[in-house]
Amino acid sequence: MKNTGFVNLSIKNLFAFALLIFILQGCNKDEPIIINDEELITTLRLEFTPSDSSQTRIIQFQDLDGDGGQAPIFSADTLNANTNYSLRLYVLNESESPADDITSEILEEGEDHQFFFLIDNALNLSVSYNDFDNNTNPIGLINYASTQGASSGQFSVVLRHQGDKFATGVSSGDITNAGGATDIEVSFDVVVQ
Amino acid sequence: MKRLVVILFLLSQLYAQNCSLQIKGRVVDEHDGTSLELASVVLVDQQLAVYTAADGSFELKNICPGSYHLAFSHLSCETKHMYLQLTSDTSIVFMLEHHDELLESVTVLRHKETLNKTAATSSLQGEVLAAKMGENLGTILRSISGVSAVETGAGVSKPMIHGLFGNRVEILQNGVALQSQQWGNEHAPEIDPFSLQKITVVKGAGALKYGTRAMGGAILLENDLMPKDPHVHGKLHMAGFSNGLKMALSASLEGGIQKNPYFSWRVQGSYSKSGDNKAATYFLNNTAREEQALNVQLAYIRNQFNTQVQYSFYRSKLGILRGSHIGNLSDLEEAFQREEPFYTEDKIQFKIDKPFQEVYHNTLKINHLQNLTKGALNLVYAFQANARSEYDIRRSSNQASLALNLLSQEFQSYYSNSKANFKYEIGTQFQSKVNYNSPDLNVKPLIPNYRKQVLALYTIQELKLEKLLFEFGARYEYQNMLVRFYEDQNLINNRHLFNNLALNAGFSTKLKKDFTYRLNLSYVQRAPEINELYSNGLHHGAAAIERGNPNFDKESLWSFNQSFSYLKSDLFFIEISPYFQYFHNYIQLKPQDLLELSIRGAFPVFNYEASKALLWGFDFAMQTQVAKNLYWNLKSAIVRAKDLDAKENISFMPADYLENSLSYDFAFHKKLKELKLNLVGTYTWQQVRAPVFDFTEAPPGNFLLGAQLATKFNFKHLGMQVQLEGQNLLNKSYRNYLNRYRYYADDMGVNLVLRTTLIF
Repeated sequence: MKNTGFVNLSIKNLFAFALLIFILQGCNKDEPIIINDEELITTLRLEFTPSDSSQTRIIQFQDLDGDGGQAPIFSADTLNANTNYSLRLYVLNESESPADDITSEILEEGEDHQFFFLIDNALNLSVSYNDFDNNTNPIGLINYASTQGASSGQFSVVLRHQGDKFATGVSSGDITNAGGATDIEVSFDVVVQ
Repeated sequence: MKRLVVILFLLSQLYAQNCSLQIKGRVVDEHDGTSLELASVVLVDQQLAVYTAADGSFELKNICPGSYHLAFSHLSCETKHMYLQLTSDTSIVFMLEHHDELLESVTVLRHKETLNKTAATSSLQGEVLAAKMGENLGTILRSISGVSAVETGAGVSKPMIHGLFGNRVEILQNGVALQSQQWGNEHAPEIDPFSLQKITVVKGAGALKYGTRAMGGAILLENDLMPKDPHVHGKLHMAGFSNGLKMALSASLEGGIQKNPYFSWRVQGSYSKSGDNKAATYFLNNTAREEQALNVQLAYIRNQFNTQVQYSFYRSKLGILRGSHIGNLSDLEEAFQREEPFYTEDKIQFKIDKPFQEVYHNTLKINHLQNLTKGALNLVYAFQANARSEYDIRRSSNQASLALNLLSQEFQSYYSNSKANFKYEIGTQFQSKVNYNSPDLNVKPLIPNYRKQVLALYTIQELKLEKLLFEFGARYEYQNMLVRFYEDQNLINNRHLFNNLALNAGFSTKLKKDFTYRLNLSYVQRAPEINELYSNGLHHGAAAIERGNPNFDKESLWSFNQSFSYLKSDLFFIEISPYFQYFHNYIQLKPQDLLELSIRGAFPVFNYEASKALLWGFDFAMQTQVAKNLYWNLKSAIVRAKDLDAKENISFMPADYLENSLSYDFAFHKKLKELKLNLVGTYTWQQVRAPVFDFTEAPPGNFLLGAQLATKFNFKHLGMQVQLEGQNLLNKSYRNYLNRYRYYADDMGVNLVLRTTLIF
């Protein structure tokens, strides 16, 4: 009999404890917050500086509100025919102010990153790497670019993260065996005049 | 020292007493009460064994008073134990249960409160379950016809019943619904199968008691009953797998307290660790995983009441195939073209790198059953805390990309009563949960934070007339969901109220002695879940943009389930269970004819859409004795699913299969009488009814061969079971339509498993 009383009391305690948790659950851990998406890349800028130091040409992709929302804005200056350029790439998060420079991050983790340039056959443009990571594999932030005769076509820029930079053909710019995850993939309509 | 003296004193007392007591009894089949001949009855403490006579009777003579352990066993029955304190001549009627899983559909469920007798149910328990130990829940359940598994590799496996899963199948542990993130294909249930004694699958919508989310079926997980024996007993399971060099261990101890015979306890813990799995010809990089689990139970049981407290903990860390982590649509297309996935290494690795998942689940449950003068009252409280973190390869952070926390509580109270031929149960349930994203990840969450309360009332009634059993059930659910998130710097507060109704009626009848027919009709309304309403953004693992629709109305289901079964003792058994499920507002994720451009390239867009749908099919199982001790089994299940609005097939439905197995029992061989051999060949057809849109074609059909060899030994106080199993013995390279890795890599190659169980 005595035992029964003890157990009944402990059941009451347990249920009281349960009720307490119920009330405590009203804490504010689930308050939503405004997310600052630090993965966000809004802008890819390509600066073509001619070897004769004439006017720099800019090709740019910009999507200030990230995935979804407003459609991204593409802009592309015309490139001059039969010209040698120095091509530099800039990667930014412009949703913050001042803009977050992701270019330096890519440079720091150069062994894990590589840009690839995919050019339509019709477009008379060629690009070759002019920078190296610690393993003397290219990164693609600084490049040579040269145009031939007047033409137009698609010019795509791809940034791969954690691919195999030692795989066959990858260091010469062939994406086939690179693997990895794509951080950037943008196609521009480019005109050479 | 004092204790030893007491024991010696007791022993001398015993020997002083007259040792002429008797234990008489009968051993019968639990299903139909028929007498079991040649069942063995062993008085373990005395190493005294007798066999039952033709009428199932047995007699043990000249026994001294004292406490004894009895073991009962019979051909194709599982050995059962009983603890007995003998003070005078005693007589016992002991029930044994045939455990062959094909015969399960006629199993009368052990717990009185489970009333779903007109729904199609199947269960796995005891030795059948022990023979699958070390596998995860989804894989274990696949052995039941009509149950398949949606997989993300070998580590993540979600049970699917008749083509329905996730938000439409409820998993219950000792009567409490598992509250975790169960909406994503890559979210596996947080369950340690080692802790289970019995798994029952209720197919179809007949299980009203378990809520409207159980519209596709319910999976009922049960621990063993609490021990009545005050002595300490235990079980040790060990399993080693050649594929992934996985090892899994589980130990459990249980007993009572000498001073107070009403208390009993159980402690069980398990650990498993696997390296990278291997497809037929290459290692699947970063598929290593580990799991830990703990289960503690305490019970206080007296005649009029039964109080139990249970705490369980589960943790898992699972690697995600490195080659399946992709950035955008072009990566995906590139991954499809490859024979071997990217990042394939030439040796096994045990390290778990990114991407991986880490999940913690805690459950505290308090249960009190009070027997009243009329009927019984059950009170249940449960608290669950679940934390799921998914780590992707992030550019600038080591934090998770998704971290969801779910706290939930529920109260249940139900009253059941049974008169001669009428049983009923009436109950109420209240559930409250908070689900939130960890705030400091700096990633846009896929689903917003929300709170939800559910209040439910239900009744189930059963009427038994001579050869007919009628069942009727009704359930009402009130749901209140508050969703809060920021959209363009504005805080949005959306409230969703739903009133859900579920009705169920059925009957079962024995048309002739061996022939049983069951029919179950149900109508169930289900409120849409958070992912269906509010998903918004990039689902990283799937490389797709997923969007919910906050304006969804309830989903309703009319279901019609039948089952025909014919059972002629051990000689022949056949069961066919056809079903139709008609949905209004069937909510599914559908590909849109558009790609969304972002700086990472193009992503396919999937929206949740509601439409009319029809799912139908049947489950089939047959067993026959081909020759003495040689049995032939056939199993199959077919599911057809049509979106009636779009007039096309619904994706992610199991492909047709036919499983053929031969088992040989060496029961009448003198030395090898406990040996059993089983050969299984399964042919799976290509899923030719996939919808037009998919990233790749459904994989071709395949034939897989498996085998099991099992035996057991009994020593004085120790039982030992040993099993050797081979899976995919021909080391076939194949892919499974329901496995998401099929886009990237082959399924598992050959796997040899050695399992040992010690019972003491």
